[in-house]
Amino acid sequence: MKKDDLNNELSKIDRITEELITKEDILWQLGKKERQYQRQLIKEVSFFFLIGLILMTGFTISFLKLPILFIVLQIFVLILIPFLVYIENRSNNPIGRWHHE
Amino acid sequence: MSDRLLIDKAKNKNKDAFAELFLRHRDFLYRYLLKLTLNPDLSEDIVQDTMLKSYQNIKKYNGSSSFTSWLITIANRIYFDILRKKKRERNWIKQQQILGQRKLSWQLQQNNDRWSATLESFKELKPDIRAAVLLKHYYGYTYDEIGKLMGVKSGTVKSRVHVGLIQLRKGLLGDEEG
Repeated sequence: MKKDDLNNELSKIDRITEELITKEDILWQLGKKERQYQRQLIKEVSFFFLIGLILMTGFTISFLKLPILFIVLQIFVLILIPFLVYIENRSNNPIGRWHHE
Repeated sequence: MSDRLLIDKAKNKNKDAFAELFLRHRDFLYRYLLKLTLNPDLSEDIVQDTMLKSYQNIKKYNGSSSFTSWLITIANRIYFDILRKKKRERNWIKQQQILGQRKLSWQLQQNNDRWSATLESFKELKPDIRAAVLLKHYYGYTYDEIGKLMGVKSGTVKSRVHVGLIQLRKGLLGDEEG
């Protein structure tokens, strides 16, 4: 096999015509990707925040013996979970999901 | 407007300038990825991820390499990160690869071309070897440049290209014998 054979075969792929992309398409895709990235970031931060909160609760109960703080933190967690669900629902809105798939 | 000017504007978070700049290089990037991944859908996904990463990090671009080379570096990292994903996702990635190759093969047929034995052997190469062979022999980059693009030493690139060409020859000889 010569180098040219490989290059000729690969150049076939270059000849495949792709649909025309405009600047507006790029801007739209960039906006969509930015929103996806932000949602992902919020989810990840919230997840680590939740883990931290659970650990803090555990330490508080075992070392300081303050059950009232535990209850307060649990209420906070109960607010955080619906918030996460809300974020998840927003990211799965039909238009976004269909397009993503 | 020159690339340099668009880059400067994009560094000031001018989305319009970035879109204009990316549009100029998108086609080259997509075709590079198509040859590397041999999967149209995956290539499109990586192009979009590269677009976001390059937009977010454009301030780090210092102009020491061409903008296209910088995009290829980012795209390579994204592609290899995808391949490194957890074991449970590997089967899914493999299935997508098969579907992607079928799609590419069909697109070639639409252009009156066919999926040849050479392309089949090229597909069988490990992705890091495939990338090295592609950048060296198709795009004509030097070993040093490829090393920078892939984040490895030039000696490693040389060895990957060498191994790749041997495997390609073996693959083709095997096909002829078979």
